[in-house]
This record gives sequence, structure tokens and C-alpha cells, in this order.
Amino acid sequence: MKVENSICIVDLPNKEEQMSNFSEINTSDVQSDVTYLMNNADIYSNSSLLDMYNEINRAPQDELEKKMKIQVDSYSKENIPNCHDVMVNNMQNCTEYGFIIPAPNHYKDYTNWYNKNYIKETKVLGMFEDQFSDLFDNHDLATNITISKKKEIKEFIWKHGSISKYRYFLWCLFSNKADEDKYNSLLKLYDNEKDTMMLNIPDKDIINNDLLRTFPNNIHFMKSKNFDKNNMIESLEKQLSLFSMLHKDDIGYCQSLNYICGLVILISPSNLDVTGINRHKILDSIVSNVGLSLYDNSLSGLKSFQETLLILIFEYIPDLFDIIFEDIDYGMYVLDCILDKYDERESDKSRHNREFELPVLMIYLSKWVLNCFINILPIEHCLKIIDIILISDKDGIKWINKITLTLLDLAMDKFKYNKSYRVGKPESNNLNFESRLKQSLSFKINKVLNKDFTTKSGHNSLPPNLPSRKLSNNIKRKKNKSFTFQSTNPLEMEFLDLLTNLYQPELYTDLDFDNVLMKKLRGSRYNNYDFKTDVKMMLNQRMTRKEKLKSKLRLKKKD
Amino acid sequence: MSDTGDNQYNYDYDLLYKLVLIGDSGVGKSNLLSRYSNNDFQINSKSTIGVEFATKAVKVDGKIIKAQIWDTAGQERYRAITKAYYRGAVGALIVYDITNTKTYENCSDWLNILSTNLENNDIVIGLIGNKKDLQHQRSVPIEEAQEFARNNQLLFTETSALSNENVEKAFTELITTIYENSKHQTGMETVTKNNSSSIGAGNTVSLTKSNKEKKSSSSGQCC
Repeated sequence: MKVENSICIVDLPNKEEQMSNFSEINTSDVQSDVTYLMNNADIYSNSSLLDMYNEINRAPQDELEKKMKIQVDSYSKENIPNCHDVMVNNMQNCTEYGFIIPAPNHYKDYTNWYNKNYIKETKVLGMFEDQFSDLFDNHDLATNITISKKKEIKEFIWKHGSISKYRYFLWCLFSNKADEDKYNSLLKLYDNEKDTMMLNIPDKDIINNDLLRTFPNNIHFMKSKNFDKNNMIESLEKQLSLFSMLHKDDIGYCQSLNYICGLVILISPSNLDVTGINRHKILDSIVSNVGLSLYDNSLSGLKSFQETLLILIFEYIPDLFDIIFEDIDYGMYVLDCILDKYDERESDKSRHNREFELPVLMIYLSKWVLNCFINILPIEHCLKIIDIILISDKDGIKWINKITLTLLDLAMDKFKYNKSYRVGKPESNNLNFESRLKQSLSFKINKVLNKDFTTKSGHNSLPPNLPSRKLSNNIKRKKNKSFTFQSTNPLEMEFLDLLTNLYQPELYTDLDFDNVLMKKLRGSRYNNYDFKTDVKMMLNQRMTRKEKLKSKLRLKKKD
Repeated sequence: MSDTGDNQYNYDYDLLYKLVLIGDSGVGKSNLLSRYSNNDFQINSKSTIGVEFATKAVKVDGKIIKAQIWDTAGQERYRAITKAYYRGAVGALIVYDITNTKTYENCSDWLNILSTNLENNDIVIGLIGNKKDLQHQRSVPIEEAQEFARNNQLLFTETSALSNENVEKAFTELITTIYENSKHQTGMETVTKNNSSSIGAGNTVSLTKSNKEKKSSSSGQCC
């Protein structure tokens, strides 16, 4: 196995060389190493894993330490530090950010992806440095940058994409202000009287538990014998504890923050942020751009997120809506309930609090939003998503919605045409999935119609093939129908299976961020969705239909 | 991570059981599930956010039973969103860590949460003391847990996901008990009713038919 022992901090130009070495490595070696490591790893801690890595790579310990001590004092174009480079040089079978690649085929995917992405990023980087050459002359981060300059940078990123070399710098630049005095006084307390302070954190045990459970597959987040203390795990503990203290009243600690915080730590060089205030600011900004209430004590914002998303799915991916509600009838009822919350014309207040159950998919998707897609998409994609969240201020959640829709949309494309996901046994009857679905839907729609309009004439006067996504306006239903929640919907389960298989952080192949995900997003109707308008439109639609039906019923009575 | 093959959802089963795994954060729920469904154990698994699921088919009494097992986040605030999917569950495993008394003490809370969210459901509950391999750090005596289980009519097993001890047994026992109970009662509705109107339900012949018969014959709810 090749070992690269360059001591210099690897700048991007070197990385190309590094990557070419990277791809030459015999992949079977990697596999056997990983298997060896996994089989011999210490049981309840990862302590020996990293040591074994070191052993395999035979990197002299003092050299490693020397690298760890490299100081970068100023922030200039020439020496942008990448904290992860220090160790990655010696770890050939993990990604740029230190994630161990589990299998040879993943490894191949990763290097292919890396090389492609590298070419693109180099181009963008060149343009960025040309346009903003004066940015990096001063050593003081982000203080002398004017608002118009910030806007310019923002536009640049929108147009050309992220610049990973300056990511830390840009994240600092686009993060909100924080109460530094408060942070510093808490930090003092943390450094001097950690135990006393921790007593005030209700979920301190959970934080503690999660430290080694954040990125167990990342070399920077494993425990090691050779290092007295693992800097990144320590930082994680520090940042999470301080964040919880500073957000004692609204959030405290919420599982999933550990992932976001871990990612922030991975990209921020510790020597540039000794106190961790920048890391705190970044974490704080991500969380507030996504929505503080999403993470609060009762996850109150999550419910609105799920409801919003359901409306968006109904509007923009109607096929999926039909799948997640086995009983379309019930789906319409749920939608009705959610819309009522937005309907100011609705005077009947009891309708605002009707009880309903969201489909399992909505609960399943909660980790997508809370984690900002960490553990769902490759980490490099998540970084790009966080770029977007940070530069879009309060619209962060909107972007999460859009990306969620895109991923669901992409999955739906696969779900429709993938033979293995056909329901039932296709060979036993001649109907394919599509027609079975249609048949079933039309059956359900007829059921709805029959239920709502008991007279034959009423039934006939309605369009025979009422599309399933027209809003239900069951005037009679309110009185006499109680709905049951379908807890296990086989078709929905299949879709969840597909999602689980399709979106994994190790899979770089199918989902290129710019060429697949963003392309799909840009070409979609939901790219420019306006939730308020959508809801208003739906409410109007419902209103008109209600009026029509009412007058129809009135006419009938007269007859 | 779920264990899913292409033919897993082809309705090649007779019964579908929804099971839930609950308990405090860090007691080993995810590892119990991955051990049972994939025979896999992660030294440090990632903390679960929201819900995860896996499936496994088992044969009981000549019938193929598909267990759909939901793994939940342990942190208290996640209870608000996860309680929604307790519905329809026919079995639950409440997991605690034998080296951590607090996680054991919270089991009665979990039991309450289950019963408030499953008013009319007939559900079989198992109590699991996990991390049995850490005998030297044990702080919950086995007799005490046994007593608690007996008083609350729970199944009880001590397991180790790490050394793969009793994991299979715990799940099988739960599934078998559910099956046996359902044979004697009309409590099968919660299991089967959801397939009666499902797309492609024609293929789940015995399931749908028996369900229809039951629906027409039994008016009383199970409890």
C-alpha cells in the first residue's frame, strides 16, 4: 500500500497528485484492510482502530505529531489550511474528510466522483480568486467585508457553485452574529468548572453518549490510544455543551445537532478558532436558518415542516401522494385538515383542530431535515447544502423543502419504472404496476363518489374520472364518517425501502449534486414554489368546488 | 439501515406484524435490530434520528410472518413525533441497559406511553435487558427485572447484541406469542385489516379473505 508522507499542508494543486495516487491503490488491499480492522477492533471503543491504521500505514508517530502542530496564523490565499489533510495523507482508504470507505466499489465511485468534482471546482476556484483577489489580504476574518461584497459573493456561489477551499471562510462570513461575551464567559466556566456547568445541561448524558456515535466511521472522531485526547471529539463535546447552555431555553441539546456540529468541526481548522466562537456562530446560524423550532423541546417546528411538505407533495409530486396514502380518501381528509389551519375564511374553529395522522413517510423524513441530509447523502453534498442554507438566511428551510422534494421526485422516477418494485406478482396477471395503480385509484375514487353522493343522478353528473388530486369537499363526511389510520401501507413501505437503498452516504455514483440533484431541481415546477400562493390556490379551489356542490345539492332539493 | 431485498415486498408472506423497539437513548436498540435483521453489529452505531426500520421474515407454524420492525430515537423530545407510528403495532420491545439503572427505571414510563397510545390494541410487550456481556458492570439485578416483567405481564429476556446472545430468541418469542394469541382471539384485525384494501391485495389471498370474514362476524373490539 502506498504511503504518502508529505509534511506540507496540502493545497489544492497538490491534491490532484494526491488523488492520482489515491486511485491507483489496489482496491482489494483496501477491502482487506478494512475487514481486518473491523474484525480486530476493540469492542466498546474504537481506540484500537486508528492505531491499527497508523500501524498499517507505518507513519512515524513523531512525524504525525509534527503535522498536527503546524501553525497557520494568517488567513491568506497561499496557506488556507485544511485540517483534515494532516491525517488524510496517511489514510489512503478514506475520503478527503476522513470517512472510511466501506467497500472497494464505493472506493472507486468516490475517486471517480472526486476527480470529476475536482476539475469543476478548480475552474470555479480560479474564477473566484480572480474576482475576489482582494478579499484575502487582511487577516481579520469577515470584519472588513462590505455588504455589497457579501452580496457579490452570494451571487457568485448561486451562479457557479461552492468553493470548498474557502468554505470555512465563507461559512464564517455568512454566519450570524452571536453574543460573544456570553459565549466567552461560558467558555471560561466550561474550562474551569466543567463538571459544575455540565450539571445544568439536562441532556448531558445524551451528549456524552453521542460523542462516539456521531461519526464512528470517521478517523477524526474515533478514540485513539496514541493521542491522549482526540481533538475533534473534545471539540464536539465543548461545542455541543456550550450550544446547549446558550440555547438552554429553546433547544438545549437535540440529537441530530451532533451531526451538524461534527461537520462544522471537520471543516474548521482549530488553530484559527481557538475559542470555538466561529464554530458556534456557524452552528447557530445553520440551526436558526433551518428553524430553531424544529429542534426545540417538543420538536414543534417539525410538525409544521411535515404538514408543509405534505401539501407540497400533493401539489408537485401527486403520484407520491397517492402512494403514501393507501386510502386516498384518508389522504384527502388529512389534506383538508391541514388546509383548514391556513383557511382564514373558515369560521368553524373546531375544524382547525381536527385530529389526523401523518403517513409514516413524513416521520421517516424527519431525519432528512434535522440532519441537513447528513447520513443520507455523501458528506460533500451535505456541505454544499449547508453552503446554500447559510447564504439564504431565513430561507434555509425552503431549500431543505426543495431538496427533499427533488430527492423524492428522483426516487419516484425510479419507483415507477423499476420492475422489482412492482406490487404483487406481475407474472400472475397481465397488468403492470401503472395500470394496477390506476385501477385501484379509480376504484377508490368511485368509492368516494358513491359515499358522498348517494343519489344516482348526483353521481352521474360529476365527471366520471375525477382526478384523485382534486381536493375533496365532503360535505356529508363531516357528520358520519370517522377515519382510520392505515398503519402499515405495503406500497409506502416499498417506497421507504427504495429511499433507504437509494440514499446512502457512501453512494456517490448516481447522485451527483450539480448534475443530477440541482439539475432536476432547477428543471422542476417546485424550483420557485411559493407556499403561500399554493395554499391560497388550493383553498380557492376547495371553495369553488364546495360552492358548486352546494348549489348542485340545492338544485336537487328543488327538484 | 434496512435489510431489503427486491423480493421482500412481493407479498410472499402470510402475515405482516408491525413491531416497535423503544427505550432510552443508548441502550442498544439499533444494534439489537441490526443484529437480528442483518446479523450485524457496529461498535459505535450512529445515534438514531426519528425512525428507522428493518424487516425480517420468520416461519411460525408453517406460516410466513413478516416482521416489520421500527427502531425509534430514544431522546425524550422525539417521543412527540414517534408516538404516531406505535399505531397498528402488534408487538413492542422495551429495551434497557443492564449497566444503567436509569434506563431500567424509565421502562415504566415507556410502558405508560405505549398504553396511552394504543388504547384499543392488543399488543404483546417484551422487556429486554441489553448489554448482557457487561456482567461486571451490571447494576440492574436480573431478579428485579423479572419481577417487574411478571407484574406487568411482559415477556422478559436479557440479551447481548454484541455477543449475539438471546437476540434471536427475544424476537422469536415475541412473534410467536403474538401469533399464538391471535389464534385464540379475534384480535387479528389490527394485523390484517390494513391489507384488505391495499393495491394488489388480491395476492394476499388467505389474509384478505379471513379478514373479511372476521370483519363481518366480529363486532367487538379487541382489548
